[in-house]
Amino acid sequence: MNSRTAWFGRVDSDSALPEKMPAIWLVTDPSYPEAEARRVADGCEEEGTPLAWSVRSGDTKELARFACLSSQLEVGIGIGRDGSAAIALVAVNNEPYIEMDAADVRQLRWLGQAAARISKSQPIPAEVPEAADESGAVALEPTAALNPAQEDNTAELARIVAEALLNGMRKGGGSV
Amino acid sequence: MRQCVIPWIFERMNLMAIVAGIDIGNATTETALARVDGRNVTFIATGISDTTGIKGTLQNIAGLRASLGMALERAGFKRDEYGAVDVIRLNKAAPVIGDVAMETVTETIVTESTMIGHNPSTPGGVGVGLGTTISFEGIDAVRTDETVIPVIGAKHDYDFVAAKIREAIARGVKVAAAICQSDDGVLIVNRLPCVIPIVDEVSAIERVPLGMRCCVEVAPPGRVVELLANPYDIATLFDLSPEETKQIVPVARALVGNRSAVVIRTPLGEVKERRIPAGELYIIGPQGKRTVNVEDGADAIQNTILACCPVENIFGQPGTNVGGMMERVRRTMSDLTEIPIADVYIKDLLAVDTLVPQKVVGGVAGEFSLESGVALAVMVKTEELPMQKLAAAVARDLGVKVEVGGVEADMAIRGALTTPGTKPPIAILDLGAGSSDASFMRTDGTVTLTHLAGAGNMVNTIIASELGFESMELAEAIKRNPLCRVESAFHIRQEDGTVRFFGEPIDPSAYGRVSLLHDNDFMQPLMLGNINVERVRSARRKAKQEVFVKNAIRALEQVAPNNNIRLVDYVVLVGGSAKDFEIANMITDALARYGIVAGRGNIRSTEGPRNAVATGLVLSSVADGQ
Repeated sequence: MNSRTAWFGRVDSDSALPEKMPAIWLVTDPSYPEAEARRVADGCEEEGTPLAWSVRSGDTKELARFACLSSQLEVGIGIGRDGSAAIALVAVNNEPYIEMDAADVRQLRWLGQAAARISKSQPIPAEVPEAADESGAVALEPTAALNPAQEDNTAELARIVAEALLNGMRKGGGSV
Repeated sequence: MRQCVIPWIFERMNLMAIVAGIDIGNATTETALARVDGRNVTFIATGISDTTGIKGTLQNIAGLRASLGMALERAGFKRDEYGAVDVIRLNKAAPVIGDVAMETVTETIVTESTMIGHNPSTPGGVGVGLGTTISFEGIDAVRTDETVIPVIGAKHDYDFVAAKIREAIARGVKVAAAICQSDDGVLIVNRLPCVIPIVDEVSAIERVPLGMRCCVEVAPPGRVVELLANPYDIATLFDLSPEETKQIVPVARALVGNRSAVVIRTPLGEVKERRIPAGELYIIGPQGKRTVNVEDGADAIQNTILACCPVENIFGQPGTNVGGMMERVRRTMSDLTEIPIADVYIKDLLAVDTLVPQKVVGGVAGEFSLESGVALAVMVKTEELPMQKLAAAVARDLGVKVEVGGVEADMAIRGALTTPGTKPPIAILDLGAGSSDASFMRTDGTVTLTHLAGAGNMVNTIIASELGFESMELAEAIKRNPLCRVESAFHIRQEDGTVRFFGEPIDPSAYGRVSLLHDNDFMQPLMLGNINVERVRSARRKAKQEVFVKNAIRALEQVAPNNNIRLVDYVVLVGGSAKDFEIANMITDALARYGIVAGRGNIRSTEGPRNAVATGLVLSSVADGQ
């Protein structure tokens, strides 16, 4: 990946986006797989908007609210444990602006694209794609299979887990 | 003459009668309900409903019942208490029918090349790439000295595609550009070591010819393609002869204004299309027959019509589009009136030049090119519509006495004269959906009248064709409502530049879009691709100008004393289209140049420009000694 592809990064990690880079925030449940978060990032990247990913516990609405308050673009995406997703705007106080299911690859990409378009004050794509069918499921596989960085995935995962644990310990230590 | 809001609580006296004037128009059926006591007329309620069926037919009864029912209910009766009415007076509807059609005069057919010129919202990379098209699956087999442009189907994931292209580049293959079916242009180019132009969202990717010389251009954001929109640059890129350059001009023309474009040179004659000629119009007037070609445009047609005035009949060249249209109108009128088709005369025609987005024949991504076209509205007149037949049917259906009142134009004048500040001599412009009617009343009470082709329905046709959609409901909505752009979840910018804020978040489907602002602040987003407010606004205003302003002047020239429009002092606009938020102002403005006081009528000081004929029908019952 060259510098032009710094569109997606995990907050507080090596792959974090450059500081002060305006980005949409994606906040998910800690169990959320990176491969799927990356699909949301695809939608943002195609629109030319960076996406910062962070994890947190809470329901979808809370996650989305936290995400938009953290984002300099004032647009945030939350994806809950149950796979429901929401786009929240700082300006819209009480409820998320858009709520939908995000189970399918195309839906995840739509989510990223819609959030990016909102940040650019452009119309969001017309239709939310229908939920998973086979073509969507198939599309994920070649990425995983042909991603040159595939060997590093396990290491990456281990690093993330370790970091999360360490973070947890640090936080735990602080509260005592 | 005022509208009574208190339900009628007195027993009807023998001298009093309830009279309902009902005007069945092309689009709406309007009712004026009044209590007539000797020579005193007190209007008590009005009703309006959509006309059912073509006016003058028995199908109108359903709309008539709805309109009358509404008036009865407002007057304090039951909705179906038709027996409360003593007399229904129907208008002697002008036996005119309008029809509108579009004729495309030019067409872009690409034969010697294939081109893709569309505006995907996010093409990848930037620059110009020249090479040979290859199938993406065959990229591994490409020799290292070749310059290629892979054509990528939607089934491949962008990561896979980028990896393959990286591999090929590493082997020494020159990948000059790419053409991609899915919306992955930016994603792919972000994963390559160098920036290449990528055109994406090419729907008919299978139609991109392989093994052909091809040029891809993507302009930087905010710019448009320069090389591929210039015939001489295309000639340079493909080594074209002067003759071949001449043939490439339609391609260059169709690519003007796009952010990304592809031109592929293919062997001669791959795309063929038969073209139906627009055809000729034969206009018969007192001095004989004149011929005008529809391709000559609206001005030529209108000048010929003027030269043939008063027009006796109009025919279209058989076997052409316009010939078909003329026959269709004749047949409709003939079916309706049971008059032989040969006795149906087309008395007027209005032509308006338009720009029609037409699909480019030979395009690959659903490209559109703005072609010139002509919108035509015609008006057919027969001896008389079968109103007596309708009156008898209504009398049977409702059990009420029904009369057919005077001529529609007379009734319109009587109604219009209830507008405060008017007196004869006066001209009335009745702007409806199907036709524009004008009448002029002199001081001595004599009336001249004319019916012209082209009204609200033609405006709809022009709006729909200029903006490239088919739904007439949408065209009607665009005609009636001002525009805005939703700029955030809470604010909109209206077409005049003012900004409005809302307390509740605006629906996401309207976010960022050009929308119609309906009366109750309801926003209807226009799903018309990358369209801006100015484009929709200018199409709407142009259609109204070309139809209503042109017709207002044409009509007044015909009814004015000595055909001199300057001899008219007062013009009152009535009819459904006069209610429009800008048509009346446009006409007021245009007629002010002739020193004419023109404005929207206000029937009975309460009804605005509506209900003129229905009101006139009631008033004439007194004059007729009802």
